[in-house]
Amino acid sequence: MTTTPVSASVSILLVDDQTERAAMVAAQLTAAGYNLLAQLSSAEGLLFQVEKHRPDIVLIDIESPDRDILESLSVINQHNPTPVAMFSARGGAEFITSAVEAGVSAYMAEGLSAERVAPAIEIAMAQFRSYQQLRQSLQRTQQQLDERKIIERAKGLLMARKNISEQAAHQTLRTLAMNSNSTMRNVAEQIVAHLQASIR
Amino acid sequence: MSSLQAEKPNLKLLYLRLTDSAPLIIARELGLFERYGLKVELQRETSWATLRDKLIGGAADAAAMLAPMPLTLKQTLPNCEEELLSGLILSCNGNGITLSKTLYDRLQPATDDAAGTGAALSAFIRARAESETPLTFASVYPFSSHTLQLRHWLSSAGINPDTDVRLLVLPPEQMVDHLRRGDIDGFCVGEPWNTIAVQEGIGVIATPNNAMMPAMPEKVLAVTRSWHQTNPATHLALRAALLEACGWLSDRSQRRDAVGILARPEYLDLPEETIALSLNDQLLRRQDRVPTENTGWHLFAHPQSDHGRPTDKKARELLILCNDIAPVDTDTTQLFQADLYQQTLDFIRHRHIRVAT
Repeated sequence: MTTTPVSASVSILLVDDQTERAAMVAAQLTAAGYNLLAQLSSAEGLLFQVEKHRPDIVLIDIESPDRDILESLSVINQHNPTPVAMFSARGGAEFITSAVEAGVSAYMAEGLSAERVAPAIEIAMAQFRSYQQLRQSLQRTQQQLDERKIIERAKGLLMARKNISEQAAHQTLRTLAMNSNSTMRNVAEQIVAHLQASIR
Repeated sequence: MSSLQAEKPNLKLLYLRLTDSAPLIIARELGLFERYGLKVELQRETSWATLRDKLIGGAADAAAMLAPMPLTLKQTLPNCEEELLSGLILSCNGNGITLSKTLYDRLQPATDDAAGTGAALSAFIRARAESETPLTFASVYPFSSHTLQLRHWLSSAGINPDTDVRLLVLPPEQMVDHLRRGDIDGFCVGEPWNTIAVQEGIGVIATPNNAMMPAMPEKVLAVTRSWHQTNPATHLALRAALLEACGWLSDRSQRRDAVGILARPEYLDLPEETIALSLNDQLLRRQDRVPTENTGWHLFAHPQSDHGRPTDKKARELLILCNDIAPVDTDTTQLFQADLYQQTLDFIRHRHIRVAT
């Protein structure tokens, strides 16, 4: 005999403009046994989607402008008997703080016990966080690449204009950076801008 | 140099992309925060719920918030242990009700004011078959002056806001797009979004809301109770800086300068000619007309007037109106703290006297 997980009958609507992140969250939720009704971006008429799917819980990006729409459903509910804000399930500002930090917000149906929904929210929050970290490290890599590109470019220009070696160009950049108490990148940007302007 | 020692001099303030966010933006640009020993970063948000939750979650220190929001927090976050309070009403009015050009052209109102348009709308709704989809109107947040004003306008025209039409909520920045697509037939939103709908030729302003309710509290400076308790001097400095900015904005001759500042990409990022209208009390009802005077489009707080004072009475009046939307607790009036407002006035006056002597 197998026991049914608590998550089995809880239905979720996921609203996220970041498709990659949504896919990550969706995969985790499905793996945990939740019933994922739909996964939509915020432009897809949220109001009518909630009416159509009648989810037990809506998980939404905290930055989404559509949060006010969801909120109105929980307050003025002649048309939708569904969701009340999730924060009611856990109370306290601490939980709100961690939700805000993770970047996820959730609305859950009235009458649904907090214990049954909390794991789903935790999963979403964890996935949102790890996605943020992924994005940040990507951004850092991109910045490093950009930096290398601009420095190489400045070196190339210096080599051509001053007729010096690559090593001497590098040395020039470094000296300039040190003397002006600036970074190699800044100096490189200035040199590129300056030399380009003088070509025109 | 201020004699006030702020517990937390570096602050983050939240606002939405609306003309009445002006006090925050102006205080920053005029260096008023620095005058009171504060260094302030402004952050633009797109949703009221997000602005509120970031404030409660401690991701920001204060926010320009819808006046009824602190009073109705329990209705939206029932078990939240935090409270939001306000010691300064930043502004009154600033909203308008706009109908789609398509609907307006079918209404053919006898007069183009609130009453005339309302009467025409009422007759139009009665003449419709029951099988037709009801007209749909949007406001920006369930417990907002916008919802209250929209319901008031409909009711006074004999239209039942709960049964004769469909009301829904949309974020301010999405209003005009939804109107253009025909998803909604009208909306109540803060400026400059009414003006944008008119300038784009897709909307007609049925009424600015100050024509119906002359000085309704619109935006308040909100902080959490725990933040206020930890940072009372910072809070005072913040209120003083913002009250001065509000006073500066109250002088109509300054508003031309304010327009140029608000329009910048880092703030509202909208054309000056759009922001200029309501901020200069100019009402452009229809694209094909010339603007008319609408005194009091935006009323900012001023030490010499009572607009900025958050009183029990004002809170109670808002709550009574909110109760018409959904049942609300009416015991939250003390979250409008007139004592904090008085403290700000005393502080500013004392400071000026000291500097003068």
